[in-house]
Amino acid sequence: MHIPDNYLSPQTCAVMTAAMVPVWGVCIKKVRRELSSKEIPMMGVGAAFSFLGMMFNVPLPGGTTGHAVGGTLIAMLLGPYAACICVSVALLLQALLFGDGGILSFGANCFNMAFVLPFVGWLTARALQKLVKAKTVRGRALCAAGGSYVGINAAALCTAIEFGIQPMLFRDAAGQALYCPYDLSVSIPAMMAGHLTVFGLAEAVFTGLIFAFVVKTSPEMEHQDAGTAKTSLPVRILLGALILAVPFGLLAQGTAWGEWGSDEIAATGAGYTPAGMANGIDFSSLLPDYSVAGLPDAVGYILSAAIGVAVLIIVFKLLPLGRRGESVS
Amino acid sequence: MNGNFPIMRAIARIADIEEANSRQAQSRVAPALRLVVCIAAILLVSLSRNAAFVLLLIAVELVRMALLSPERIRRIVLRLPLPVLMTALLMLPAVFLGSPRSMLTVTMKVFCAVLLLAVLNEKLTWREVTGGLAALHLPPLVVLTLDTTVRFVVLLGRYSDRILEAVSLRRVGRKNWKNAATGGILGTTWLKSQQMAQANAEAMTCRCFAGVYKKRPNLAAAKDRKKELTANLAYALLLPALLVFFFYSQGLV
Repeated sequence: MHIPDNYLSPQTCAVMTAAMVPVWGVCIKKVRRELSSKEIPMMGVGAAFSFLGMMFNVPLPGGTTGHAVGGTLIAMLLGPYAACICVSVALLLQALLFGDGGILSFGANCFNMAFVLPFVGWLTARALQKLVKAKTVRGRALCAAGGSYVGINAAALCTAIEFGIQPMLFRDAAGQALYCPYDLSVSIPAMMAGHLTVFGLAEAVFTGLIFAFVVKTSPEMEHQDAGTAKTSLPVRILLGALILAVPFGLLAQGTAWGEWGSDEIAATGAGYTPAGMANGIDFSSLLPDYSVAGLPDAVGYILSAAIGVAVLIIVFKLLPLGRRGESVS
Repeated sequence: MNGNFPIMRAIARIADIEEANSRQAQSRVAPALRLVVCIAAILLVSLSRNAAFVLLLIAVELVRMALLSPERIRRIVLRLPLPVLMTALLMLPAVFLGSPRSMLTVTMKVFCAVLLLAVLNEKLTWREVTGGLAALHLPPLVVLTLDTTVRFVVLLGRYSDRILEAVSLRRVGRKNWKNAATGGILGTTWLKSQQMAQANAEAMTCRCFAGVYKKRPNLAAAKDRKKELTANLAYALLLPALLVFFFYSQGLV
C-alpha cells in the first residue's frame, strides 16, 4: 500500500499533502491536550508495532505481496489522533531511511494509512463494541480485529482510487498515461482482491492478537487507564521477538501491486513505461528495501527493524521534553 | 568575557551528568570490561571497510539508547551533532572530488564512535571509569593524573563560574570591569588551583593514599557474586561476537 514516487502526479501529491496538513494539526493539538508527557513515549511503542507490522510481508497467489499496518491497533490503545501521528512518523522513517514509499507521495500514503485506516478502523471497532456489548479482553480484541479489517480495506480503496484516477487525468499527446497506467477498472479489483482476503485477514490477526496481549500484560498502555505509563517487560520482549522474526516477511517473494520499479512496470501488463515514471525523481535512501550491502537479506532486515524501532521509540521519548511545565522522569 | 559562558555551561553539564550517573543503580558488569568492549568496538569500526559492521553497531547502540530515560537520551542526542557535522564538513571536498561514498562512510563511523562513547558515559560514573582503568593495569600515575584533571576541571569550572557571576554583577554601572575581567578570573582561578592542589596532596597524605589505586575486596554476598560473574561472562562474550561479525562483514571468513 506504500505508493512509491512517480506513480501519482505531483498535482495529486500536492492535493493529498494539503489535505493532510489540517489533519496533522488537529491530531497534534488533540494529542497535546489528551495525552500526558508520561503517555507520549507509549506512542513510540505503538509506532514501533506499526513499523514492524509493515515488515511482515504476506504472499498472495500471482506473485504480489501485502502487509499489516497496525493503525487500528494504535488507535484502540492510544486513540485515533495518536495513531495518525504514530503511523505518519513510521511512514516518514520508512520513506527517508528505507526507501519504502515515496517522498513526494508521503502525503498520499499518510492520508491512506495514517488517517483513513486508523479512524475508520477505530470507529468500526467502537461501533462493534457497542453493538455486541463487548466487555471481556477477547471480545474487545475481536472487535478491534473486525475494525482493523474494515480500516485496511477502506485505506486500500482510497489507494486504488488514487492510482486509478491518474490515467484519467494525466495523459501525453499519444494518449499514454504519464504516471500510473492502470485505471479504476484495474486498480480497484487488483487492490481490493488482496485486501478483502489475505491482507485484511493478516491485519485483523495482527491487531487482535497484539491488542489482547498488550491489554492482558500491560493494561496501563491502554488509553483509558493510562497515567503511569511505562513500557512493561512483556511488551519489550514482544517487540524484541518481532524484530528477530521479521525475516519471515522475506519468505514472500514478489512486489506488492503498485510498488514496482520504473524498470518493472512495462512487464506487468502496461506494455510501456509512462514518461512521468521514466523521468521522475529518484531518491536513494540509506538502507534501500531494508537491506544492507554485503550482508544476507535476513540480517539486513533484522538490522533495519532494530534501527527503525529504536529511532521511533527515541523520537517519541524525546517529544515530551519539548513541553513546558511538565516533568518527565 | 561572554565567550566563557559556553565553557562554564559545559562544565556544569559534566557535573550534572556525574551526579545523575552516581544516583543510578550500579550495573553488575565490571566497568573495566565495558571499557574494553567499547574501545574494541571503536577500533573495529575504524578498521571496517564497509558500512555493514558500522550499521550493526549503530543498531545495537540505538536499541540500548531507546531503553534509557528521556533525559539521558536527550543528553546523548545533544552530544552527537557537533562531531558529526564537523566530520561531514571536513569530508565535503570528497564529494566534489568524485567520492561521495567516503564522506558518508567516515561520517557514519564518527557518528558510531561518538554514540558508543556517549552511551558508555551514561552507563558509567567517572569514578567507575578510573576504577576500570586501574583494573586494566594502566600506570597509577596516568590514572591519578586523569582522575584529578577531570575532577579539578569541574571544581575550578564551578569556582570560575562564581567569580564570573560576581564580576558580571559589578559591571552594572559606570566603571568598566571588562578588561580586568578575563585576566582577573584566570589569575584568581590559577591561585585557587594551587591552593586546591596543596589541599588535595594533604588530604591524600592524611588518608594514606599515595596515588596507587588498590582493588577493593568484593564484599557482595556469594549469590550476588555468582550473578556478577554470569553478567560479566555474558558481557565478555560480546568481544568474540564482535570479532566474528567484523571478520564476516569484511569478507575475511
